[in-house]
Amino acid sequence: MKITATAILIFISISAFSQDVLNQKLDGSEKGKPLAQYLHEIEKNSNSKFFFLDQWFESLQFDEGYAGFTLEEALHRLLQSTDISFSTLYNYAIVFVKDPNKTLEKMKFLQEVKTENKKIDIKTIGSKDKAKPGTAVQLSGIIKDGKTSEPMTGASIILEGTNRVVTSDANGNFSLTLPVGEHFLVFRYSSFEEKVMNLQVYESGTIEVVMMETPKVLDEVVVTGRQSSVVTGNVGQIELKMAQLKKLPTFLGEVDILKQIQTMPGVTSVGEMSSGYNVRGGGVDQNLVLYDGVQIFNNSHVFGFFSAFNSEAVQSASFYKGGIPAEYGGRVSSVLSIKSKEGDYKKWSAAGGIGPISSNIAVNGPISDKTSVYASVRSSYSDWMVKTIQYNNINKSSVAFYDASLKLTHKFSSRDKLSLSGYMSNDHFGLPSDTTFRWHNRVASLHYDHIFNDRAFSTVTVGYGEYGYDVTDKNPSSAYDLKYNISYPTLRADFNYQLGKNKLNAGVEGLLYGITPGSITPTTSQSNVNPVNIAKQNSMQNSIFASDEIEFSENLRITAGVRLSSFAAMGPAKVYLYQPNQPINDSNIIDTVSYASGKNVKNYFGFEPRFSLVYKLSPFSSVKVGYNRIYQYIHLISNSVSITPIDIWQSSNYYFKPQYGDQYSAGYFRSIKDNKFDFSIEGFYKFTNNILDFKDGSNIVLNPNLETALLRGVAKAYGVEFAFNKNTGRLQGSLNYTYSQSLRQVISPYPGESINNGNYYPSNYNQPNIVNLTWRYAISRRFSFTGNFTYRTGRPITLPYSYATIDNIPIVNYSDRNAFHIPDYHRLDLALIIDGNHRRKKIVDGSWVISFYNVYARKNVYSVFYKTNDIGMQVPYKLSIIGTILPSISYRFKI
Amino acid sequence: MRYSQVFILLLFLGSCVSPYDINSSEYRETIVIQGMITDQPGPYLVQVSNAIPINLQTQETGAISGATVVIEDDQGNSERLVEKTPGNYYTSTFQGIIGHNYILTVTTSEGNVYQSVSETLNPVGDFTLKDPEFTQNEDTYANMQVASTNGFNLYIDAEVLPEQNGRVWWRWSGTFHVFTQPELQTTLVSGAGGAINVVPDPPKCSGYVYVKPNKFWGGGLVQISPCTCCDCWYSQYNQIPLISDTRFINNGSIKNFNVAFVEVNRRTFYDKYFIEIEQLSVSENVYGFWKNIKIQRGNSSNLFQVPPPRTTTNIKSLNLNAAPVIGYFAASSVKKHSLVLNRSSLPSTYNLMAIDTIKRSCSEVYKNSTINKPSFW
Repeated sequence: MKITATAILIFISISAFSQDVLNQKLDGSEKGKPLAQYLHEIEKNSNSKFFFLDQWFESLQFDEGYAGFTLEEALHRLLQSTDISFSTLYNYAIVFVKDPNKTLEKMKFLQEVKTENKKIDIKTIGSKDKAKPGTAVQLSGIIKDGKTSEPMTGASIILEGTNRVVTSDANGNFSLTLPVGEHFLVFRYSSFEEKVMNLQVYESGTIEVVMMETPKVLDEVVVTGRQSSVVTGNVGQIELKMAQLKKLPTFLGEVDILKQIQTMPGVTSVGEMSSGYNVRGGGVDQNLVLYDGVQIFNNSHVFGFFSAFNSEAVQSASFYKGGIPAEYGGRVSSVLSIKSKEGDYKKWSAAGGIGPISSNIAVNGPISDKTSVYASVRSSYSDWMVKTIQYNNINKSSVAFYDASLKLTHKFSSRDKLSLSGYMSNDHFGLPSDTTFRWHNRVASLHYDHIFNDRAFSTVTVGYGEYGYDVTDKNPSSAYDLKYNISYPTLRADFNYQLGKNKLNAGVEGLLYGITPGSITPTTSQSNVNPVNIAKQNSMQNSIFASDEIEFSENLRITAGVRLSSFAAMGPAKVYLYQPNQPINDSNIIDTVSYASGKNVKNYFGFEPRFSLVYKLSPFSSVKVGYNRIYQYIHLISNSVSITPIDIWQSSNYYFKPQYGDQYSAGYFRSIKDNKFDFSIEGFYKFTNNILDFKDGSNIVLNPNLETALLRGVAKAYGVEFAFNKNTGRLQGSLNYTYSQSLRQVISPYPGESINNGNYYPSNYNQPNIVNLTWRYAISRRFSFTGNFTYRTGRPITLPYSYATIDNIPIVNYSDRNAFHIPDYHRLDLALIIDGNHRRKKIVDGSWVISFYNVYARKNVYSVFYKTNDIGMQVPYKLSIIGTILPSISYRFKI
Repeated sequence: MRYSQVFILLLFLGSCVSPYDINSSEYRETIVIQGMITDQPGPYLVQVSNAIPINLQTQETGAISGATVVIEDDQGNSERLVEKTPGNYYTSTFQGIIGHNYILTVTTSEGNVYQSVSETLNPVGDFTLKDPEFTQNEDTYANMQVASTNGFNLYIDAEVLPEQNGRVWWRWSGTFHVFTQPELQTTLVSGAGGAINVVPDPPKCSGYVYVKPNKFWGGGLVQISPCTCCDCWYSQYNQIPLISDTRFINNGSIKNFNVAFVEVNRRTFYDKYFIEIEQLSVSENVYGFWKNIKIQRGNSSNLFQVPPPRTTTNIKSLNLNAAPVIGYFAASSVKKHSLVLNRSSLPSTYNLMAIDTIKRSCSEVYKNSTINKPSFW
């Protein structure tokens, strides 16, 4: 077949005569004529000969709009997406050939569908009589969860027999350009039943596809001969599947989105007591976490033991670690966009979970046929556990948290939807010494979605977010109250338009930061604490963005975009000026400049190009490339290694320039054996400018001139990620390995200030080797056994390696910053999941999860710290947060 | 917000804290140099030693002998110091003069040269000691008064001269007399039939010998010479560097600076407590050195521990591959004041017990103490 085609091609180049026929322009007389008839007419009037079987062209005829095209162009257009092609032969012949493979593939596909006993939905759009064969039409659609009616993000839509796969967007929408005729579409989403549709499409139109969650564990996995989203998805993007998440081992029975992210290649964290995570060698503050489009600053409960999001209330979570689209900005390393669940418009239902630390319940249903509500609440009762410990006053401490969410949605019409989303979380952590930590997040947002037509829709979001903490000490001699707060109203408008093969996305975003860096007030007359009050800092961050996703061909998709951001630090503000050419420290202050309210203190601008490319080498393999530059105008100032609730967020100002990072990534993706396995290898290089690191021994808490405590430097990270997944069968799982380096360099012109003499040094979270293994084995229809194993290099620390006594004071001599690392971290977790019976009609759908965290009770070192021993010397100690196996049992239900 | 309390809270998760083993191979040789020149009469001391591996904290500081130690000024004067005891180098004639600049050069026997930056000897303001304030933090009889958190807080008002640029350095040394009864020391001896007997075992310095029972005498302690290890004078020093906070200087003075805390217990106040406080001028480099040490020392009680600052120095190694150096060389003007605290200085309501019976040699119990009565006693 190929050889014939090649031979034909050679002849084309020497055929002038038949080529003349092909170059003839159509004059309009062809209009309304069947193709076969028209070709026979040409044969009569010229010396050319056409070879074809009449039945091949039965459904093809010329309609309007062909006049002016050459015959060759018209034929290409008519025959596109058919299995017929043509070539010239011997100077006078034009030969049509039909590729039998496509027919065979279609037959094979239908046979498979029959074997698997799958139902095929038949759908017709338009009328066959009015159809114009050979033309292309636009198919738009929305994919919804059959149970909740929520739109589903990231579902794959496969046009059978071609290489074309599209993915539903954040609103569940997709669109495809199809030739008129009969097609088979396959809809896939993990943990949902696959849907096959026989679509007869004769004109542009819209379809709604309802997918049902797989009721049985074993049936979840029937996937054959199709492409995987690993091959077709965008570079660096991962859709987290809530259904999968619930089937993994848990920490004390809590299903945790953030812990799940940490099992992805390229993502790690520094230990148990850290909710912040590090993506591709980036800092914890370089991750943008959005809840219905509004930023969340602290995403943990209990110092990081649990994530602040109740997974029951989460509809979908998209995670980007590379090739970040232009619509997102503000954080250099990654984006986690969490969408909350929308209530059902048909009936009321409830779901929940009961665990040893906390319980949650979510209720949703219709208020009217156009209005729905989804409400969830989760609350801890861990306090009882603490209270029962009769040891060293532990029972005087307290640990408590709760979070709640609410979503109200009203549909004005099928094209207009208004939703109100609210989220809050609160934490309380009390120590026996009368010190209490409290922190909270509150976000609310109003979204208005409008669909203009099949091709255009927009969303307008008005949001408000707030994060704050306070620390109180009631011990009379040191009593104080320390308060910190950051608020950030947001306004955003997004516009999406589909134009042929282009998917355009554009928008604007504005954000006002109001940071109250804190005040400390002595609360008793005996207290020795000095009151400090640092003035509120205001700033504004605005961005406009536009991007275009272009399907150049079935095999090539390119997304290119740009984001322009601006940042203004505004008054009222007081800026300290320092002696020029001297180190920035307290003793070099020469003047202060005051700025009036609303006055610009400093402006910054960022040009942020974004690019990603997916090129399919075959239906089962692809190459992907991504590049992004992102500006970050808000920095986490911390001299501890992970996010703690009392960390300080500092916006860019007179002294702190915005961080900006460039990331390049490229990877090869392959699915093997009908997508039974997939494999990927991806490399990245990231360079970030203007990172801040603290000076040795500097004080950052309530420091009115933080610039004296910090130094500016650069960071670079590079690495390679390998991932291997098994997607079908009783045993499913994934294994991934990441090798990476995360380094920093801080050079100061003043002696002694450069960190490690200005050489590159490992960042606090540099963990070169990371292995994650996750699996799930279906023992039977109801029982499954899951587990995960994690290994990572211990994170860097600074160690004392010698001591001396100077002036009778014992002195410890420390290594270069981060010159050593703590022992490697590894942990095995196992869980047994017992699902309820699989009858479709049951009142309560419940499942039990019995899990064991840290099965072999490894005492993983979280940190090394120093205590003064009997002879006044500081000696290192190691702290293991969890030094034992933690069993737990939890129950989840749906009503 | 002490670390330990968080750990306790975490115990229910099986959290644990254990010593972190630092492999001795992680030790890197570091030279420690400390020395100063003042406007007071000499001799001045420069000490040169090796830092000790962190896992061998009981080891004595490793003195470096045979080094050539020279102090020179900007007037063309210099003096080579004489090593009197291993690692301790003394001047004989040199005296610091305010306004002059000084450089210390140490050349080790291997030929490695370490040199300080030029240090200017700046003047220092004077200070006045305020009346000591007794602070009772715990029950009078806690720990049987052998160790106590009750004691005297000493405050000073300090004058800061413009030349000091807000930098002041203080040091104090406190001395007390301790009395022990080493003649009562005993040992265990296995006797007939597996019995274990307690028998007197006075050390030689106690002046006593133990005479075993014999047919003439039932046995006992006999004094044959005066005790040379019953009376010791032990000195304590500030364990955290004392330096000024430039923010708390008003009109050239620092008021009510809490310079020292003197622990009151049955041993420190067996007799009386003598304390001498020095106020010194200090260069920016040496101030920076102490500032980092202060942060290091004050660090471990924080809940969110700040990564420790490295120890800096104003001494540089002039040879590329020589071991790194820590420590300081200071040129300081000094003002001194001393104070004696007596048992009678205590509030009348505070009942201080008599010294406990310590049945060992005083120089064994109080290492680095002296049996020679200090001149000021």
